[in-house]
Amino acid sequence: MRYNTLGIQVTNTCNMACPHCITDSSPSARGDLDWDEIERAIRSAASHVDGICVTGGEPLLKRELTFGIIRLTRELGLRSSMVTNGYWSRTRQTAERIMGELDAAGLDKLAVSYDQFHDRLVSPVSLEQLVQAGAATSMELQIQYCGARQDTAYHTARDVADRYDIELTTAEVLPFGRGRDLVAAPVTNDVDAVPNEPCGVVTRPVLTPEGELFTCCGPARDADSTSPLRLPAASGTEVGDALGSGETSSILNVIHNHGPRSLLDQLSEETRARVTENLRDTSMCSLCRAITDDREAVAELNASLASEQYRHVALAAVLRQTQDTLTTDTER
Amino acid sequence: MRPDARPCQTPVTTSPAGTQWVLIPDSDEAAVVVVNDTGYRVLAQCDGTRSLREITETIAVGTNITENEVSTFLDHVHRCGLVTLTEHSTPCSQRSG
Amino acid sequence: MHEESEPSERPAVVATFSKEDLVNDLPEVVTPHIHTVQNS
Repeated sequence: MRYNTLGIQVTNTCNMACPHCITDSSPSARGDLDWDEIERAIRSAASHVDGICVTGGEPLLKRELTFGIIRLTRELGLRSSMVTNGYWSRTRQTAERIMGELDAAGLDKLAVSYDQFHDRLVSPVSLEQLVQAGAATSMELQIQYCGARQDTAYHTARDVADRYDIELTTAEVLPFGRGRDLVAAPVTNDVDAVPNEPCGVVTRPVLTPEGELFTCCGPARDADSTSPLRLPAASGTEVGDALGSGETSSILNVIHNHGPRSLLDQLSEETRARVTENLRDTSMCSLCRAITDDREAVAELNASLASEQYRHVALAAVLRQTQDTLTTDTER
Repeated sequence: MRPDARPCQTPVTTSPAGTQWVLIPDSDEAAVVVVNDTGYRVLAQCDGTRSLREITETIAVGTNITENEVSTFLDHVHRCGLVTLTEHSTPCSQRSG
Repeated sequence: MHEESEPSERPAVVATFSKEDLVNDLPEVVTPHIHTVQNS
């Protein structure tokens, strides 16, 4: 499987403390990556990824690191992206200035988080100022909404995205990070309700301020120490090797090719029952974590998938080629 | 394969996977092949102008890789439809069929 | 910076697969599930 982007989580600190935050970021959260580690990691990973995504926390609280990453990404010929909460677009002048600086540094894509949690600090006017300023640049813009799509923030995001003809991505709140407390619905063990689809997140690894490397930018952060979602990289220079080892992992390739639901069929009845008991909700991510955190499940999967390892690798390559063809056709 | 055979790689999409490479042919008749890094380097030399002997000389620098081993590899990928062969030096882009 | 090492192993085909078989094994939905990072 070919990785899409390597996320560089420059900091845990954020000037917001959204109740759904998967990284538990907040003003009091501490932990930053330093430049030496970032540079080693990006250079080491360059041949394994298509792009680098600066994330956090709020990346622009670490302005020097963030701009350094964007410039290095461009220098290496990779695609650069960044996720921000957009706090800096409170005035039109500031929005235009920072957008101009990001554009000049070579940022290819900017995603702004906006939903009922983020809108406590970022107003609809600020969101529009940010998008308006971005529309004058060559950057691709995206609004990322998280929630049930029934609140005012969703309608604001939809309206701005439509008027400026930019992409709006939506997702449900996941029961991970601080979101675990937010998703208070009773735990359901209905594994049949979990979507049976390939996972696009497992190809988006992230390096955290703690120096941990996960193959998934989502809910892998507190994964079991032996989880296949956790890639072994003791230092920045080893990030590329760690990514390389993940590329041929049968479990990761099956998650990428078919999704975690297809792993269930490979498990013994007893293990499948235990995994199902550990579901936090019916999201793919919950099932993925329930399987990959279960050491016996991982051992069973490693044994049953071993003989087909290169078939999974080859299928992942064919799937990626098909997805790339679709993307190219859409862009035409 | 004769030492003066000049293999030409057919159009493929390559995708790295750890220390291997997945080669996906444009043609539906050819096979999807996973090769090791040396195999990938050999195929990168197959531009229709270099002979088996010349390719081996390039790849074997600093190693004990033999012409026979490169020949065996190229025979295998030839059967998979990933290379065509000729005895004349013609760049792949100028070959027909 | 690491120097690139010379290839020391002989060239090898690790595995081969019918392209048609692989294409038939592709999931029905090829647009993958992607969720937002849920933070900025």
